[in-house]
Amino acid sequence: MTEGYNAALRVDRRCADGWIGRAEAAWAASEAARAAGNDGTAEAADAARAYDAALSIVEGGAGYDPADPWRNADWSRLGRPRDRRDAAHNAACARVRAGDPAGAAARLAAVARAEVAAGLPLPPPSLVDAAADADLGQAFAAAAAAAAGLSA
Amino acid sequence: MTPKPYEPPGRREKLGKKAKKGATTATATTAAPWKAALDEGLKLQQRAERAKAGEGTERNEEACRALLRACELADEDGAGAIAAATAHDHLADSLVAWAGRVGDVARAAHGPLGDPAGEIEAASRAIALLRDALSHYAVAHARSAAVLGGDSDDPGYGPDAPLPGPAPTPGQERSPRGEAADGRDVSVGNALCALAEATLDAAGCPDGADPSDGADPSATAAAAAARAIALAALDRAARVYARAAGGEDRWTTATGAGTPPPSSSSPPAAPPPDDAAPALANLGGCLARAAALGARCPELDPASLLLLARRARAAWTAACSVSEQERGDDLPALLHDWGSGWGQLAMDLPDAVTDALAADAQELPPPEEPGVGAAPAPLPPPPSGRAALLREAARTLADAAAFHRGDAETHCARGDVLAALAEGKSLSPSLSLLLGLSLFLSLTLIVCRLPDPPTPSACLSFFPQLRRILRPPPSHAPIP
Repeated sequence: MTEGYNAALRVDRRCADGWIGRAEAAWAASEAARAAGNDGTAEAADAARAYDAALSIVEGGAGYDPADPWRNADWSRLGRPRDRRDAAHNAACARVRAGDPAGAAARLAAVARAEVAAGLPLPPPSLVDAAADADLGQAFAAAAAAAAGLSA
Repeated sequence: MTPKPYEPPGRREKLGKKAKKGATTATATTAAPWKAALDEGLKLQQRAERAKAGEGTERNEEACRALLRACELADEDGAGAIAAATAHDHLADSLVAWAGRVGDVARAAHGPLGDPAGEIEAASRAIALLRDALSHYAVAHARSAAVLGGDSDDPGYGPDAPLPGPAPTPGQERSPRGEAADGRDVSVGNALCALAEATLDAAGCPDGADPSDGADPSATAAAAAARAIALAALDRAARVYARAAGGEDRWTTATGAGTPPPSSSSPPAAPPPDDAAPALANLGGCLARAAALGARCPELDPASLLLLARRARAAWTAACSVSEQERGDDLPALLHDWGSGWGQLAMDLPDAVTDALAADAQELPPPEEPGVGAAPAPLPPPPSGRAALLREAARTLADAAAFHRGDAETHCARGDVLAALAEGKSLSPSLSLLLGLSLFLSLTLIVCRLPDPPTPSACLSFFPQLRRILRPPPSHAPIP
């Protein structure tokens, strides 16, 4: 399932799309493991690591320019702000399943901090409300609180 | 400035050969006012292409204003029809570039969730620009036809032009057109494809699906209307691409409505011209996009979708056959677009259509020599047509990657296809039985060696899991 993405990453370790593909494959493997009666935590941890790798490339790595979103749009899967937000959300979900809700909260808080620092509005509360998973809800709440504290 | 070829979804600026503008050579006369304005406009257009998003689209606007001035001067000064056609061609190209940039800037907008309302507004703006561009292409055609003696009828360029007439049959005499007219056909096709995408964006359904999922009747109706307009634009684009590619009749009706599928009794088609690769490649992408969009239209029957997909594959195949890298054709990009577009179709089309397409591929004679890029050996019969098409797409992308191993984008596209293949994969019954028996025997051996073996009822609880593994693949209904 990850053959093509691994080939892309062998060519370029900074290929965010390759990391995203690998993360989604790992998440699918985690879902399959849960359907088979396992916990799928190892696969979820892989997914979280891959999402983090992708986000670290576009958020802070070489080539990322917060003042020039046009250039950032070169990454087809993380080109839009909403794509990056979705990836951060998925990373948080994967961390929660991997047994690391505190890491999920930190991940979301980092996103919120970056957006507040860039002068953007706070994350919409709907994201917090939408988190059906109790642990994930706590992670979102912690992230929102951290962002609110930063902006205050 | 020459336009970018149509970019199928998932690909950016990869189709190498650009549309030609043969008429530009006729303009290098003197530093007439119109020529000075044209040069200034082209210079501004080049600067606009290098601009960052923070600078917005002002440079594109400046370039278009200068080129519009060049058009007016060429018309007023009596500079000649060819000069006027050149100016209008460049203005239209510039308007298409502006329309593309409007959408890109809106998509890259900052904000917690981007700016959906801004994107829709930008799409509406892009539609207006593209319609304006199509008008200028029509003017350019009329000006050049007056001099070159070609077909002076509207070839379907204008924003509201009727569909161009049927292309001549292989034995029929064609009107003299020339390189510039073929290049303009490709440019007009690109503009029409962009118009189709902008129409879907403006309706808030970039993939053609109803955004409300049936919950809001007005949104459902808006999405259906946008799909119909987009399909009509893609139909016109397919016709002009086909004309640029030699005008073969088998490609001229994109929706397939009212046109019987190609049959063995049809006269053999003439081979496409040697320089038709860009037009054919764009035609393949355009037809595949129409098929993917049509899959969301309940009014399009599976037979029409099948015809579209078959024509897309035929166009890509023909593009491959006439591509020559020495001439500037970008074969790796063509293979990438073919593979990713075919993989997308495999995921979008209904089962009946994918099964029929897979059956087509099995009827093809085996290649006489190994494919380019060390394609993998033939695989065993796939469990479904969809899987067969995904494997075909994966092989095509592997060929593309073999040309250019450093292209991570192609590897990612192959990863998408392989992931789809893995997710939809179901084991064949014989393989399932073999695996199930092996697993059962292994578990039995393990259980017998345990110091405290489980009860028989505990062992029987394993069987529901085994039955899930052994489940055969679903059957698919044939196309009526």
